[in-house]
Amino acid sequence: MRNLALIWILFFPWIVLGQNSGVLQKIKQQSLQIKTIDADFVQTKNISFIDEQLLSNGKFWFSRPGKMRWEYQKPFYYSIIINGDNITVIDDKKESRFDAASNAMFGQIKLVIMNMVNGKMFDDPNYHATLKQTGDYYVVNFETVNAAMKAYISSIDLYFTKNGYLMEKIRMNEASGDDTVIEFKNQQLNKPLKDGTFKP
Amino acid sequence: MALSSLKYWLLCVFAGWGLVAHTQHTVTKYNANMVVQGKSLSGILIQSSSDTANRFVFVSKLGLKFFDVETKSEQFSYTIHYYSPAFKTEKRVIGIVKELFVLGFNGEVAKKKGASVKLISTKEGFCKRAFGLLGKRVRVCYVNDNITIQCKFYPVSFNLKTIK
Repeated sequence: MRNLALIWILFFPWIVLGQNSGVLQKIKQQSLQIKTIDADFVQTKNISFIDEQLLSNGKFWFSRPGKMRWEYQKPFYYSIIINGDNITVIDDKKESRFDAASNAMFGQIKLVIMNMVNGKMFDDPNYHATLKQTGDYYVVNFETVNAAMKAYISSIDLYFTKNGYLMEKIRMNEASGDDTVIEFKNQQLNKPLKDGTFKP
Repeated sequence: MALSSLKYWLLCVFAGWGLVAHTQHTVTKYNANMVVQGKSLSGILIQSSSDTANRFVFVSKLGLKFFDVETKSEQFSYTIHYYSPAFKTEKRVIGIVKELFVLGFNGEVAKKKGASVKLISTKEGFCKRAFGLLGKRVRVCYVNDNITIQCKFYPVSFNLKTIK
């Protein structure tokens, strides 16, 4: 009996590790199968010293390999459109264009957002991924390894449903204790998107 | 004994109420555009005001924090809680920002510190033209729900529109 307990203690971490790497693999495979996304989102910004949350919502579209439109509709209009290396920002009615290759800040924003959605974040050496479970979700915690990036975001949690491995929530954690939570709703995957979705 | 307990209880209740009332904060949110040396940063400015302090947090629309500064209501003192690494090469900007906010939101403190604040009425609203702490000029205009803060000695300005 004592030997059995010893064997369990010795091998349990390896069993969990094996299960975790299996789940991570399935999440990654599922992410890679996504060709298009059409979804609504709600963003909640939590600031540690005030009780009130900062709420905004809008629409999100993605098309593999490199197109994305992130559009805030309330309480302000703000849209980021990524089409390859071309980034267009529409702030209220003002339109600005950037090149991801030459603008470091927008280049980084593009990389982080796209990698979260298309599953490439798992292979990004700037993050260390660990898996945990809460209720209906597998939560993959990507701890920022890169010191320069850590000054902005200490870690990112991606919430995947246990039935279907669909990403429904992103939590960006700042070193100060503040965080930003983005919840996706009414997600439609792999359906043709309207012409002009990724045009300003 | 019972009366003494009651007194103690009442004292605790009033002290507790006083503490809560004292630390009550009013939160105002602005759709904000900050222009630094020709570069535009768009985001939300959150102003949390209490009797003793004004705290300003500027976050991007995507949620990333640019800065978090606090100015005291009764005296010209401030705390910089955080500023983004994006400002590291231009630390002076954060120093100017807290001066702008003192002049923009608490002209009385600026006056106490020697700034001359002049009110100018315009067709649309009114402006405060202030000669700041270093004898340098700042102009703050209030038109309906819009506030513009322009720094005349350094290329920094804010356009704020209250979010209801």
